[in-house]
Amino acid sequence: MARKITGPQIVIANRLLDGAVVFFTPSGKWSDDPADAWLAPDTDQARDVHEQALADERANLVVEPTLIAAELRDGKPWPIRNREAIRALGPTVRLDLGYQADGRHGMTEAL
Amino acid sequence: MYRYDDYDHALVGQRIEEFRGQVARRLSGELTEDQFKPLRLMNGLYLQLHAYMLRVAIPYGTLSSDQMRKLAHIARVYDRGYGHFTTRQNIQYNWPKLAETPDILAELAEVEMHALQTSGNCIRNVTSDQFAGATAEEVEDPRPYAELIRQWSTLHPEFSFLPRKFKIAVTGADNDRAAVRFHDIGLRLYDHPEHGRGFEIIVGGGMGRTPFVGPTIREFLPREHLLSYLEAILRVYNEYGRRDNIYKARIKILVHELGADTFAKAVEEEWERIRDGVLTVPAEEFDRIVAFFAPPAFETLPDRSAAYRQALETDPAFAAWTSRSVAAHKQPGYAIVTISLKPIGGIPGDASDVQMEAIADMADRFSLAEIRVTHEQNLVLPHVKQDDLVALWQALAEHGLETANAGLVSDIIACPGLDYCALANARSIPVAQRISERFADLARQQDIGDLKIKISGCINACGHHHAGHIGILGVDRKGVENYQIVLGGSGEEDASIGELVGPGFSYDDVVDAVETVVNTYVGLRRKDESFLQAYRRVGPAPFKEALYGTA
Repeated sequence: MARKITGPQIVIANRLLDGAVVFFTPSGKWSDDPADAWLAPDTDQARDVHEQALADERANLVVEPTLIAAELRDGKPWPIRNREAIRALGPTVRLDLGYQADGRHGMTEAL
Repeated sequence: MYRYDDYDHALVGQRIEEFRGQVARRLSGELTEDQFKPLRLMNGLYLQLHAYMLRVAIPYGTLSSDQMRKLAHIARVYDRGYGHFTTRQNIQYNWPKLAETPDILAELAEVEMHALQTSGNCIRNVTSDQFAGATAEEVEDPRPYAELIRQWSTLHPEFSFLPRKFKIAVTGADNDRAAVRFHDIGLRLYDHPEHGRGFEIIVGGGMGRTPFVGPTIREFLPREHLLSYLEAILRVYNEYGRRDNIYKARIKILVHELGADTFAKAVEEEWERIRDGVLTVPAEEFDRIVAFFAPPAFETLPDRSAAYRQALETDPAFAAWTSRSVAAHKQPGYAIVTISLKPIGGIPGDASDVQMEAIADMADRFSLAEIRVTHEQNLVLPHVKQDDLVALWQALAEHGLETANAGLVSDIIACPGLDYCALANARSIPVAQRISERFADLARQQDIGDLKIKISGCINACGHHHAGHIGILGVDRKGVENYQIVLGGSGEEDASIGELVGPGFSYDDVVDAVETVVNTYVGLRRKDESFLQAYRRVGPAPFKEALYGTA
């Protein structure tokens, strides 16, 4: 659901091949770890980051790159809302599934 | 069971190859997501929070053991070793890869299954009574009519782009296990004292953000006119249903705004034009379909099995399970068995590949190779010999499927919620798990008696919270999960919409609130009075008082 975000933001998307959750990084690649995400401090800069991410949607690498509210935790970006935190980790009712299962965080090979 | 003919095989097979081409073009970049999304949805493929999700239709909730085995195989080979049975008698896989989905569909076609029309603004999978063809309560097995509707509605060119999705349920029993008053069209097959056998036609029920108990627009329709009458209803809806506002696009809004009488009149006028035409079902075609649903080869047995009776007396755990899971069968010496997919603290409706295979084997061994899926996210073995009940119960226990809670407080319906679903605002499953754990003690559950708790993680109400004796609706309140409680709903023949009891509760507090509601009921009930009966007698005041301290 589109809602107005004002503070720091990152871009989240699903990878086209398998729908896996990925975050847009400053290198222009995608990572499965929000800690790697490109944190835009305000709405103006977020718009620029989003523009670059959208190019990868046009390139059919990802689906629906979306800006979400984020904050720094231990110096790393992390989603503020539950919804995106759950996307970053996996279902809270199946800790054996999703990224939380194997602690696999880092640059995504497929992109 | 129904078996595909050449036409069915060709239709499903062509559709898979078409989708295979569409997926290839999407992966190569020839199709954009905007172009591809409606195509994948027509084949049951969603994109959810963590991954794609494939929704497979289980027409009118009937499965063969071979089909269940295939569902297990798909869970193991293409997914993460489990499937989720839904409130619409479907199964959902939560982790398929895009490139592999055409292969999954091809595997399904091998056992005459598909994912057609499990999404989109079309006529969805037709649902029915999970006891159909087995219960003595019904006048007739409703599934041949459901199959007829499936054939009529599959790729129906006129009804592929309706204002909104469209759900039809059919029952042949007075005890409504198919929630016919909460569907776009509900059909109740019954014997009219003067006209004989036919359908009561209910239109415009539904849940979601605007719940309605559907009104009856025709008391009696002769069976041979079923399709032409459905076509007339769909035509009126297709023409007058709103397309400008997604929240007002379901037929329930049209019926409500026009009034049931005016809507019925429009349907009758349309029907007069098309009745007795091509949609009148030829007797030989209907007989062909009915033959597929002929009763299986039952043995001639005494009405009550001595072995069963003896086990009831000697094994209290077995007796407790039968008291919730065993229902009367129309055939002497047989029973209908509900398999609870609600282990204490488990995820409602989830079954592992191993469990699904075990159930397929049990169906072969004990239930003439038939299985049913219920809208309450449980499974049913419809044709079990009473002599075999003990052996079946033991086999179920080996796979954690012997929970004796069907219809009790821990037999909770829950949508996937925010753990999986892109539409959800709050989690449903862990709330169900925590309530189930709170009421884990079986003696306490039995004392509480029949109680249906239903949980939805957003206003779309896939968890049927409006129809829960206790319904829970998860909402997002300023980024925090919050849970509203509604009381007094029912999805059965005494259908009603639950009433909001007051302000919502936090994720941490909602289980205490539910327990307060249950304890309030236990404190005020009369002898043998169920939760729903008690609520209807006393109204919300005592519950408000207990929850909020204000009457």
